[in-house]
Amino acid sequence: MMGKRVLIVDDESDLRYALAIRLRAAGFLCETAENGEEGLAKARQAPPPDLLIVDLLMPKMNGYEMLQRLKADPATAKIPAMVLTALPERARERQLAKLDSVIVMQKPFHSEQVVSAVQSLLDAAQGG
Amino acid sequence: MDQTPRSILLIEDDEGQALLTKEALEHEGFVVDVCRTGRQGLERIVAASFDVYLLDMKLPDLHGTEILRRITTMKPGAVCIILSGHGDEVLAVEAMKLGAYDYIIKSPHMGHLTALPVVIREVLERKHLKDEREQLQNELWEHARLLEERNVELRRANDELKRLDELKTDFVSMVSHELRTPMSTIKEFTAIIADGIAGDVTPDQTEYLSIITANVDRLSRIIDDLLDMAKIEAGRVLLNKRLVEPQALVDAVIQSMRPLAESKRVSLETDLPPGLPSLFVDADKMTQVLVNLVSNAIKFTDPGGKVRLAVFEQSTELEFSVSDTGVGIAPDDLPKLFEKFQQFRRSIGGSGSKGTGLGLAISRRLVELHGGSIRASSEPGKGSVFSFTLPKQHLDDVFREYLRAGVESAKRRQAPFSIAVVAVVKFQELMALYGLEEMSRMLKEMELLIRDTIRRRAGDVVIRWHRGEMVVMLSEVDKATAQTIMARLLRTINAWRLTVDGRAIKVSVTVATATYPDDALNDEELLRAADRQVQHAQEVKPCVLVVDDEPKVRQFIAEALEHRGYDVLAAEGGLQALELLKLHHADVILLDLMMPVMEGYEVYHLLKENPNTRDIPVIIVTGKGERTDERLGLDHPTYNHIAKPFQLEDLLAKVRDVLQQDPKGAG
Repeated sequence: MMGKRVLIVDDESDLRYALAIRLRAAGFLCETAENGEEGLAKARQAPPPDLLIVDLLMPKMNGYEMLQRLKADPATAKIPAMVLTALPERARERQLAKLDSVIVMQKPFHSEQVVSAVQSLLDAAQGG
Repeated sequence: MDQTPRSILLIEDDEGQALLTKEALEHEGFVVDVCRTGRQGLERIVAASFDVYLLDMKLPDLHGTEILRRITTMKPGAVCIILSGHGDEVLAVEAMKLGAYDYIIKSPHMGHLTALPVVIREVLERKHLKDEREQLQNELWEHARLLEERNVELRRANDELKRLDELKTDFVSMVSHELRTPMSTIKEFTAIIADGIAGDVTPDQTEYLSIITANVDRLSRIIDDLLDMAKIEAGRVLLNKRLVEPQALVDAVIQSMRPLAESKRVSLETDLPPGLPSLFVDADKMTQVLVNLVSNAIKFTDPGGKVRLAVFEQSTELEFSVSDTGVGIAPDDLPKLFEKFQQFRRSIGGSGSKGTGLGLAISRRLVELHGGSIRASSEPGKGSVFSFTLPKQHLDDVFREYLRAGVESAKRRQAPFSIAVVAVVKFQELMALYGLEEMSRMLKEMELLIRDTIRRRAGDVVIRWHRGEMVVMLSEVDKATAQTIMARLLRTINAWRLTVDGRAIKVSVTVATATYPDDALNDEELLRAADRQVQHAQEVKPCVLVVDDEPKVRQFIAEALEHRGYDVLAAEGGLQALELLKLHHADVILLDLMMPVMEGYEVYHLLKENPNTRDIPVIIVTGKGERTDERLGLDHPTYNHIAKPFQLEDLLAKVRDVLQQDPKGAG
């Protein structure tokens, strides 16, 4: 788990910060982006991140669209993603059901939960 | 008609006739003007209007039809009556085509003058009615136009409402988001500090930080409840109903409440009799209600006390009750219990987290939304009982509700929704043959087979068995996918055999699908569309019995026939064929002559001897160069044959022909 790279994409700077603090303390390398556009660009840089943490509601490009584009590109399609959202059930369901992404976490959450979720996501990805 | 005398303009060149006609008409109360030439007549008409124009066809200057044309141009709607001479009928008819209302043939001794006034009056009446009708038609058009305008308005208003509605949902979502985000941040950083990531923490600091966190959690709960309440009050709660087992519901609640109960050393019991009927409810909401009641009960019960969750079946409803041995509620507080923001003064009790004051009010609304009611009773110092009822529902109602909810949900999500109907062919006959028990077993087995093939979790497939028909709901499945799934299912069922009394019976089904929005726009139409297809399919599916000892040949022919929409039975020999015919009906039999054990000839004769099978047309399949007629009798009306090797197309054509020849008609 040491040295794995996580890209955190969220327009809330405090939340990005808090997540990054947590993840770094747990030994991950973190990069951040504040909207979908920036996130997309950073995710496409080689080498690609090992995991994405993406907020759904963001300006310029929302999380859903960003993930869609990454999934459509074979180079980035396999990166596991964790989606963060505060939207009610219904909105989440319709959009995310069409994506291959993995965990959905509802805000507010404990960032500890995020750390352990990240670890299990990465384990699963390695296991194939 | 009003009383003013009708005015007539008579254009007639013959002086004598003109005079006589004028007199006759004036005698009848008409006012008559006379013009002796076409031109004069036209000049007159320019100056004045008349009720009736009487035109002689043979005028010196202009032809009658020309005058007619000009009059109808000048005065559209003018009533013109032609006076034509004997032998001029053709002309008269032509005049009618040009717009004359009627014509009258002048008789040589002016005998027509008796009839003339009658004709004129009749024509005037006709015109009056025509005018009235036109008027009404115009009014109708006007109404229709207004209606259309109103419709457009309504549609616009509707769209506006929808937009506002969506805005409201977004409002709730946005508020939700805006409130939750800062709370998230507070919790995050509190936790980061408390976990020592930002440096060492003293015990006091740890404690204070946990108080901060607890209060953020409380804020979170209040917001959830407020939003819940807001949605309920605005009538915007969408119930996601499905069939739920009471036991499952209770188990889930108990499991989530156990930690709380254990931390307070309160024992948690359940009391459910076996065999409780399923409920058709929104499981999440019901869980919410039960959790509310049970957590309250635990909170207000001292350590060592007991909380019991029981379910009773009444005649038309199920009753859930949560009882505790806690401090009880004062009689004064009881009536207001389920109202908003009541923090009732239960004495001391647990210190536990304070409620939001909305829990019971929300629970009541949720129960009421399901058609139930909630109440509480209590003895201060002894304990309290909170109970609510939920109505039991008929399976048919459940099914309709499911269907309706499914279509609504699809509309909201703008996703397709399909249903498939699987109907057992000749269900009644099978029922008569095998009895209710065997049929029930068959339906159960088929149901499992179907679920397996469609591969969805049991909770998603609603089955309504009704007179041999099963309806399967496939949500978010479009028309093409539904048809593919059903084709697969059809193949699977055709290959399946039901075992009855040690015999393998083939059960035939027809399948039909209907999809929203392609085939129908609401649940009722959807059902009807699917049913119609099934009826149609059942009506036109003739059954062919293939008798051949070669398994490969049998299979090949069977598949080809099934592919063409026939129902197929297959037998490997005469004995089996006869057995099958005892159990099934066939419309035509394909019989191979060269078979061991019981030769085709024997089978043929047996078939013809048996009154039940005598009339089924048989197509004999002969080997190359065989002479069969003598042994079979050329004169039998149902003798047909085809020789091996044959082309598939020829066989299919033969089957078709034979079925069409059948005096009873195909199928």
